[in-house]
Amino acid sequence: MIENNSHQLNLSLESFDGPLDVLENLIRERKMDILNLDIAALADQYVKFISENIDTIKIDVASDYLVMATYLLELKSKKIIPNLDVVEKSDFDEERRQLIQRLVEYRKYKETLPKFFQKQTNREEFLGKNPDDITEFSSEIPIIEKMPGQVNPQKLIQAFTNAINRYRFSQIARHGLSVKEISVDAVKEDVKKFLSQNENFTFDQFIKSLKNVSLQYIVTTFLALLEMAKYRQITIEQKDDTIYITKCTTTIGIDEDEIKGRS
Amino acid sequence: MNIKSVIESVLYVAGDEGIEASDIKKIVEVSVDEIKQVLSQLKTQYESNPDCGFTIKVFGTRYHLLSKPENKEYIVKLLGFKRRNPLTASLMETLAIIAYNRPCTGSKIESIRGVDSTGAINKLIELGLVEQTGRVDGPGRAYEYEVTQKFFNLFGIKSFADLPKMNDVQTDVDDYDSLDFFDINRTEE
Repeated sequence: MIENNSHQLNLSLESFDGPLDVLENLIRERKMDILNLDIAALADQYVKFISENIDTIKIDVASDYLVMATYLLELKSKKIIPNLDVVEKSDFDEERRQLIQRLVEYRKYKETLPKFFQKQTNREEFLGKNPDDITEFSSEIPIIEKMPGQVNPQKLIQAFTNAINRYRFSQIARHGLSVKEISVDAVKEDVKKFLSQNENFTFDQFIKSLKNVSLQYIVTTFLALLEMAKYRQITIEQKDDTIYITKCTTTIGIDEDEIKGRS
Repeated sequence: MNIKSVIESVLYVAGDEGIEASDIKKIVEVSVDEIKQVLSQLKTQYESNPDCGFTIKVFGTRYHLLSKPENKEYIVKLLGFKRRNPLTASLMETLAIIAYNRPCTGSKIESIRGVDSTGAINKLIELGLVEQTGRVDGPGRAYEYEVTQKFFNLFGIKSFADLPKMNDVQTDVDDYDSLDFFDINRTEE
């Protein structure tokens, strides 16, 4: 076992990005040959470093480091305890090979990072202006495109978040707790009423038509719309950040009560 | 309609978010090839004229009208300079792994980094550098992640071929057999 206290890692555990990062740094700092790793020495140095620094980080992060420590110690024990069993021996070699493989792979990525930072710096030599906000000039009638087969749920979430943000400050800037429960069915009635006056509308328009709407109501509306779409009472389409709701032609509508009654 | 003039104005309005040739096609009724030709003419025009302070850069598939690099020091005097997207090492690491392995699942990232990367992935999505593109056909239907056009803009690269090359580590040791885990240096058209 190599006792090498002359140069310690002058870093706290907080500055590391997980156990592999610590191992990679140890190997580099101590100038070990990554492909001919002395697992026992590495295990000792890792455990030493971790035991000195483990108190500086949060417990849930710490567990990752401890798992690696126990793994390395297990590997070390497999190596140093003489074992006549040939199968066990090759087991150690295989595990060592896998560990080295992971470290080599990790190092490859690690080594690209300075190049990425450099590219970013080079890019910053070129400056551009912020894009102009042209929304106030855009036409009143939006061009509606059919939703593609695969929809990124992220975009739907974004559209919903935007709708909420637009009204959060104007309509629900009231303090106090609300304990009123809102049922999806009740909201669905509201939507149906709105739908009877407007064949198609946007999510924004519906929310805007209500006075003093709560966040809870908006969420429930979203659920109600999804449920109505499921029963083909409406179709939902999306263009950019806007959700469009259209009343379905009655022929393909499914009677929701009928379905409920059957089940 | 003067196409070159229109394209120049459109580039100006689009700013550093840039615009795709196919988006320009929607407004001027000419082919994408012709638009690309005009853009390259504009670029040559800007760069050959020392009195002009602009240049055109392509990042990913988007064209950007930007200031010439030699003028940056003067612009900074006026506006100061703040890095817009400071990425931590762990975000950069996660981003690099996705870029080299696209499309890439969360578990692939975690197996390389050895730590839970959900937070990093979510942060990258929030920054608009990464997006979910689909799901793996298989058990668990894991999400697949891919870098966005903003990624190209951030690093000023045109295509995946411009990604930093990865060092090849010599692997002729012991019974250390050939590694099959890298199909990363594949070049993209």
